[in-house]
Amino acid sequence: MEPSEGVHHMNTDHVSPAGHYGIFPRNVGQTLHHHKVQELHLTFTQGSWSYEHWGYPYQQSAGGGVEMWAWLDGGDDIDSRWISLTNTYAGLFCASLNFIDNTITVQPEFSFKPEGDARAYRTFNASASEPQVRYGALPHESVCTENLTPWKKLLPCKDKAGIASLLNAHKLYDTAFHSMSVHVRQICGDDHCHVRQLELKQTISSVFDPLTATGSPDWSLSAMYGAKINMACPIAEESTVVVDMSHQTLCGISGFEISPKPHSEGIVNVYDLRQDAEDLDIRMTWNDYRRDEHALPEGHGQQNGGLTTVIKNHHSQLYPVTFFDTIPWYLKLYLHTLHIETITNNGQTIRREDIVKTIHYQPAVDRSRPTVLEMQLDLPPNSVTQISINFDKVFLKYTEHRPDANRGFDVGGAVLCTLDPKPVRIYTSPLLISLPTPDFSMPYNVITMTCTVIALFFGSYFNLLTRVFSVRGNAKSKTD
Amino acid sequence: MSTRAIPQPVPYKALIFSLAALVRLLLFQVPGLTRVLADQVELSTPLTGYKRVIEGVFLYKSAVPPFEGGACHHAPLLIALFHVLDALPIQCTQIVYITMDLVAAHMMMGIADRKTTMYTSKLKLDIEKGESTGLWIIGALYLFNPMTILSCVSLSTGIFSNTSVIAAIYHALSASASNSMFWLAIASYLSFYPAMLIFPINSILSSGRSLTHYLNVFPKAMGIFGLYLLTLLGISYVFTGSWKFMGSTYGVIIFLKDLTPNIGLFWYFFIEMFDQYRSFFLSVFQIHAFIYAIPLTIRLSQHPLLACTLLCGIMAIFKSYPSAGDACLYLGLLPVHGELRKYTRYDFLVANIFLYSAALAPIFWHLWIYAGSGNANFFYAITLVYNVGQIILLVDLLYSAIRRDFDVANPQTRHWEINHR
Repeated sequence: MEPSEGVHHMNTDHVSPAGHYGIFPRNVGQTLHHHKVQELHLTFTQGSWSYEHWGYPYQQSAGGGVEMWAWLDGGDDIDSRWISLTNTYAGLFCASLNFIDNTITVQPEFSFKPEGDARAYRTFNASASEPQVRYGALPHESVCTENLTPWKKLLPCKDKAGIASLLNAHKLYDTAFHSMSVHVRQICGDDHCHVRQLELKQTISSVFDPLTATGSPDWSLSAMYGAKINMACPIAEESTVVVDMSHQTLCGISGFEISPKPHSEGIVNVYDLRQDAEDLDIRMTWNDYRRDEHALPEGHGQQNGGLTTVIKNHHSQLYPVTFFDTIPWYLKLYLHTLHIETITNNGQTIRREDIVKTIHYQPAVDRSRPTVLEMQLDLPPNSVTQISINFDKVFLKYTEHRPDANRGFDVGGAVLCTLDPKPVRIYTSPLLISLPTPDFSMPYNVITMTCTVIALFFGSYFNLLTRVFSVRGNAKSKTD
Repeated sequence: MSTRAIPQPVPYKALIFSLAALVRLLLFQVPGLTRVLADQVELSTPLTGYKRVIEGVFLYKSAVPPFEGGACHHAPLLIALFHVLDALPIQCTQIVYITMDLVAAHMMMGIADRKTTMYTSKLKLDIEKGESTGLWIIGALYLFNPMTILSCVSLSTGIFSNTSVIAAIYHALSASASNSMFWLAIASYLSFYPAMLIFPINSILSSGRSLTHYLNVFPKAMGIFGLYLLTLLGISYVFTGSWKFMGSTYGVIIFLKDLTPNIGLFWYFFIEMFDQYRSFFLSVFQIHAFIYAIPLTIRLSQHPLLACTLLCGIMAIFKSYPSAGDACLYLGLLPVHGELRKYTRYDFLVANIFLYSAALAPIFWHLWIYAGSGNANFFYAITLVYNVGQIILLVDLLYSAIRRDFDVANPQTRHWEINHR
């Protein structure tokens, strides 16, 4: 772990045989059953994960805002069920998930594969049609206490006991990064899949930076969360706190102390809450502190109406990844400007055909669906790949702008998925793109002025088309 | 209609044409100029922009249906044409555009020539006897109109529809109904609005004779026109494999799905329009663009060519996505009606408005979009000024035509006081 920043992950699994709601939250189970959902992933994130400084996340987080994706039974009514599902979870989590409508929802081809056991679903739903994935993200959504409270209510001990007693909203949202998620999937209870189980995994990740907060690299649970862990949740089968020391061990960093003494020591220090009688307050104090950097940069920047993503492969072997980007319809992408360039460490440029295996492109339709760009890439060893594409900014009706129009529109980042060795998704940071705005105070003026111009023409033409010239009276007097 | 026996060589024609081609060729050589001009909203609309054709071709080649998304609104046959041109070096595309302009200028001179022939049998004012506008002036005014040159260099596809309209008028004046309807069908297929020209063009075909003659000619021409149009749409269907292109070409023209600013009156009006009234005003605006076709044809039954010119002007103002290229078309046809020059009252004003808006439109656009020191109202104001200028011009032209007709019919009333009733 990077010494200056504490990356904290909490992870709770509750498993229930399908249909039994002992400790499994009934509201989740029943809504999934009702909408014929095979698996569901919902992630709330505030801030963006700094891959450069924090390495890969231990638990899957997402890009900024809210991300929701689900595999649903692929009947005809799948889209209406998906909309109903987002609305249900909007209510359940007090989030604006109901804004995930058709203009935002996409169907990824290669990314976001199911993570549960397909057999479990198939065995018990023999008549079900092939499941389909639906994905929607709201990069604008801000995450706060009202989302945390329903999340905590899903836990069997709520926040009364166990690790969750640390979750103090005041402290939790005062961090560099915060991500909270709910993953539900179907798994098999035994080898032959006679028993189907529903697994609900709740995770919270937050990144504290004691160096910025207190000016010292020392940290403790009580300083960060304002609380100590008093006991494990009584019905928990397992309840542990793990301090990952791999970075210190591998890089041979010393000069710090950890107290109290863990139950098992090594690359990771493990504290078993079920064995602890007294309150647990882990603290780390540094005698000698030196900051170091390790790089795994990701970038997603705006440049002259273009999106550029830089992917670096530091591995010494070829790495297949899936690049997935969904861009709202108000950025009009030009596929012919898609430019992919790869340069290896020894300065060699690699042809695009050797990198891009397949491209799935679905152009946006104004006001009804976003652009989806999905590519399967083979990243050569030790190389940098730059993907760039140009867009035009679309001019919106004045009612389509947000109330804070000049702040700009949030656009979700791209997602890199790898399947090997285990499924990992890397999110690039979301963007803020400002669109040209009309003058919001002008509707009446514009209507009157444009109509006046049209009336000027209509009136003049109507006059001329019906006009007859004649000589006035017998006025020959005017002659010369 | 009498066809001329021996075509006289037009003086300076070769010189003007080669100079016009040279100017365009040189401008094409300026690096990046085409790209910059193709991004100018005054020259390229979503329906005519070069960038979008290329995107359409690229999507078609990548087996993505080009008309399913919102990026390409061009007629499918244009995509087919550019699919061919795309395989060739860019110089071929440039030569096609230059040729289009030259052909248009050639036909404009032909139109002027045939009009002179047509009007020899008509009454004239005394002072008009013996005067005529040189054909080369008409060609030169079209070819060296800065807006024509810039439209051509921006590779805006509006040039194809303009040339088709001119070809339709040209063939009508040559009394070739089938050819005329063919070109009119192409023009309507490419940009929808020219369909209204069928009324004055039939008036040309029936050469201003009685109404019964007109009504005899009209259904036949209409039939040919419809047949050609259906064939074109059918070919497009075969090319794209679905009818979806109708929605993303004509659908966009009619329902204004893309609100990218242009020099017309629609974009800001419908950006600012309240949602409840959108469909009402949209129908009013679209119907308004078409209502002048029949009254003008009737009122100018003796001057169907002028009716065509005025309708082209009306299209350039009141269509949903006008560009400077549309104005080139009717401005090119203006000098053909040289006899009206004496009657126009506001030509100095109109010329100034054109210059004023040509200078300020790009500046205000820059202030709004790039510098951020102006807002949308700046550009909107300049489009209003430009359109008021065009309106004054069109009103002035119609007034001149009617006033001149009166003078021709009543030569004795010269210097008398005339009642405008």
